[in-house]
Amino acid sequence: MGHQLRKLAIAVSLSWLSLICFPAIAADWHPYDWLLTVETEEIPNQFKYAGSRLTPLVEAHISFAKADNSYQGNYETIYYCKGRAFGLNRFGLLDVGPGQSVAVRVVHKTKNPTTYDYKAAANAVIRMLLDVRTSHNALQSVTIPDDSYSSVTAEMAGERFEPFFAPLETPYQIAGALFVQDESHKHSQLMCYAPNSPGY
Amino acid sequence: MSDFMTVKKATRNYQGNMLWLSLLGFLTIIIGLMVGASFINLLFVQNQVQKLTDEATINGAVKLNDNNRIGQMNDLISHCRQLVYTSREMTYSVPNTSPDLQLLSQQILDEDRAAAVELEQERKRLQALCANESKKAITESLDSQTSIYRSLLPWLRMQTPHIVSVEFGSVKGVTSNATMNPVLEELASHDKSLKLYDESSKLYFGNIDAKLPGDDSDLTFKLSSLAAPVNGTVSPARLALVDIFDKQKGQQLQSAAKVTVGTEVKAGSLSEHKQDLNVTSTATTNGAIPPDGFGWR
Repeated sequence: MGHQLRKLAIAVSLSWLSLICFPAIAADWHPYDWLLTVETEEIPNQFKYAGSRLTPLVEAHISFAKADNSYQGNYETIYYCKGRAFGLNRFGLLDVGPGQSVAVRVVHKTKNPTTYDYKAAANAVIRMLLDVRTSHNALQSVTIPDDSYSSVTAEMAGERFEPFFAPLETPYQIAGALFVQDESHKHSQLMCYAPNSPGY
Repeated sequence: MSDFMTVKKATRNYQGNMLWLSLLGFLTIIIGLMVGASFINLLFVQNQVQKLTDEATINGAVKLNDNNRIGQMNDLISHCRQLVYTSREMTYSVPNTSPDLQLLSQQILDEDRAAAVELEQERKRLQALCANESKKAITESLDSQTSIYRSLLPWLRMQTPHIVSVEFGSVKGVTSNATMNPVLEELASHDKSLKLYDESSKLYFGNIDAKLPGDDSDLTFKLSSLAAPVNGTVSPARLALVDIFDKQKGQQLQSAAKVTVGTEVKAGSLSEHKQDLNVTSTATTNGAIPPDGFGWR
């Protein structure tokens, strides 16, 4: 009887321990292997001359880190003038290795992000899709701040990544897809690049 | 009596010669003083015109790289070159890895090439703008001070100093402020083989068209000469020797100005003798501001 009670006590203790520890384990778990961070920021005092067509200048700095943060690196900075890419400065290779699951997170460093920040974020994410796919990896998801979710997805549509609504009868050939969600996970959308589909 | 008369006559003659000699002496001294004063005045005028020209040239040179616009343009051109290069590389690798994204990579390359063409147009516009604003600054600087410089002597008249010529260019041997990127190894080796950059400083040479290899060789990436910062220190605008001025080549952005200011000196009141007095000054603009963080803030 005492032996059984001891077994029961150990079992209860273990289950309590697992219950206590599980959230910590869950917090450490990520549905991706690598995280690419796209930070957009408007750079002040650039090209300040009469009739300048290059201002405002927004940079999208892209860095990458392993999901457990054990490895970090700077990848590149893309420079956008009025929302269009005009320059790139690469700092290193996208050193994530093949066969990895990669997620992208958008961050706005500009205090009050403008349309140009959203355009820069949308374009940088699409460029990252190409980079990730050509390095034999999969782009899992794109997380966008809650406040700019609708604006960035609208700019992605301008870059020919349309929101995907499952067509019932029309055949649809998707060349590239991005699962986009906001930070609070209240909104999500599959954005598709399907240049060969009818009505696209 | 006759002896007395003889002595007296001789004395009178002697005194008369002294008067003429004294007058001649005074006249010589006065003429000498006038000639001396004229020379001193001329030297003073030349010195003042030189000072005026130097100041106007410096003001004009400073205006060329106002708000570091040349430095920023050089940086952006160098970055645009990398953008087109990496996009082209992407179109080469996509067919083997993700053929379904071929159209997307081509679309991005087309956008980047269009940006490079637009940037070259903007660079040309900036070049004209810099030259106009610099000329305006030189003229304003000269106009504000020319009334001060007048000849002090009535027989030596000067015209108000005026601009004879304004030339733009760069200082010989100064590289651009754009650095090569060793991360893009193939591009770096291409640039090295064409000697586009200085191997010790890793800065691209000034006043070059850094053409890309292969299919994008039709695009223009003109990098102009501009002193790069050294250990975070910006090179200030300063006067330079006329000999090291290199006249503008191939519509490059200009980083130095050479100004010649002239005045006409008229001497004499009866017969007019005119002489042109030209003074030339050369100045280089302030260098590029060092980049901050990941970009060039």
